[in-house]
Amino acid sequence: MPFNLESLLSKQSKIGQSRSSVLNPLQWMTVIIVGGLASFVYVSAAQWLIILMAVLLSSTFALFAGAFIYFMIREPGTLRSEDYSLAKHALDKGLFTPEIANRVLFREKKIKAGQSIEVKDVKELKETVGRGRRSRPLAADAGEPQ
Amino acid sequence: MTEVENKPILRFYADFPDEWEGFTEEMKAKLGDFLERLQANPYDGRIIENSEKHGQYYGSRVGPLRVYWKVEPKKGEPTSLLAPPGSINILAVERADER
Repeated sequence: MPFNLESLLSKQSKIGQSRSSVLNPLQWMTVIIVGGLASFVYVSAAQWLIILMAVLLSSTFALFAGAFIYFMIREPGTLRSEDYSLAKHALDKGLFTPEIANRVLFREKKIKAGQSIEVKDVKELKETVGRGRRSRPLAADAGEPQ
Repeated sequence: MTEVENKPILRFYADFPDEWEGFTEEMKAKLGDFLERLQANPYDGRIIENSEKHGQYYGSRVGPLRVYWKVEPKKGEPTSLLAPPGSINILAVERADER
């Protein structure tokens, strides 16, 4: 396969735009340092340069491992890809289906007509709902859309 | 005026008590916490951020439930975020797995 600079640049720019996780910058830093270290070894660069790159690589890797463990414990969601987060968000939405919309509108009419249970304070919810259950007329919800 | 009097009244649909009886303790606890926050401030940023809005109706996932509501302004007040809410109509509470 021939070397294609445009294709490579295109891929690089896409990688930059879609960060896969919170650790993505550290992963790229590791790749760049490994590349630099390999190049220095290949061209037999000065010993101190190779040692410097090796130290940098070790530090970056230690930081990566530390960050991974930290996020794994504290915020596992940040280790997932952005695509996953967006897809999950999209799945969580879409709450208003046509059936729900019908039910909501029907019940709103009933509430406006006075067929409702009023709770002044949520702390009284159990008590008020229990009372409402005992006193509710059986035909209160006749004709409700399913 | 007491704190409770300042809070908007929650109005539930008539069928709610029967549904409430069928909820697990976990569902009841999560719903109770959510309604408490909603009643304290119906325009709480955290609630709005996690809700889907359709006109004046809101829907949100609350643990294993989906809750739908509408904020009614006080009588004579315009419908606006600045208007003090008079009541919150809880229009549906569905189990999230019932789709």
